[in-house]
Amino acid sequence: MALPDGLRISITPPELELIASHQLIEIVPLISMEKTAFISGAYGPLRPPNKATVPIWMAVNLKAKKKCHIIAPAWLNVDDLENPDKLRSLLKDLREARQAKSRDGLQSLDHSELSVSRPPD
Amino acid sequence: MDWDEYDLLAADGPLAGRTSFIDRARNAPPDDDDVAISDARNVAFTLPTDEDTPLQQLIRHWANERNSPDILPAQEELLVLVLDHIRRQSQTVQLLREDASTSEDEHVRIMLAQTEMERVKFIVRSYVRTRHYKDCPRIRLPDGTALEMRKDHISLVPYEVVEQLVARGEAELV
Repeated sequence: MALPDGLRISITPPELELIASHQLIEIVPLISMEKTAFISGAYGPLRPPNKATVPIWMAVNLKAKKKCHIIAPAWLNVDDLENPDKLRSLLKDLREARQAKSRDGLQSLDHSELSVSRPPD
Repeated sequence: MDWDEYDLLAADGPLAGRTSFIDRARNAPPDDDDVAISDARNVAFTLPTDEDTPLQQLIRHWANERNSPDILPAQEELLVLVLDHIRRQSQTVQLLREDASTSEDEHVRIMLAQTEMERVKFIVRSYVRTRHYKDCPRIRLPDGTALEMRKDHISLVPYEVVEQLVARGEAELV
């Protein structure tokens, strides 16, 4: 076994990413999973729609398989990423698209079916 | 460019305008290392060092080994513990896979366990390789092939190979 030339000088960015991926992050799981003993610790149980705290590597894995939503942590700031202006405009578009969908949804409610009962006196 | 006079934080410097992180760094309150952490959420995300699992300890030793030019003391016991753990996880995964009654959700656990095992195996391999390289750097021959000769071991090679090394001053004839 030998270390390739490029890796001899110091720790590489992908390796740093590996270390960073052990940090915990919050997710909203879309599948259920019993509490499981992994080498790095026990995680779970996953009970949608309750939030859960798992390592980033696990969250990314589940997200890639569309089995969870990742909740952006407090320290993640748009200005720390590349193209913050483009990101901000995309986030704004997302927000507006969702608002439009909610509005459309409300309009398509059948008012004749809705009733509001009087609250007890 | 004279790096000694180059102020990355200058208001008219190269990072002006992209100020979010720099602003926070400049205006950050003094370190509170001596103050008890009152933010419960932060505590939940940090583990105290004396409760480090073997894997966490190995990761620290691996990072130290990757960053230091000299070889550091070997962590044989840690390696044995981690390798044992990998073996046990592997056996568990094997059992679950063979069991036909394993549900869809179980498959997720199997997939995650396998993913984690690959990550841990990478760390173990990288740790061993890094230390081995420091002990015994590879000898590169002109035709590009690399020879691996262990310290204090005897290797049998044709004279032509040795001839090159002697000419380069990397080896002596005895």
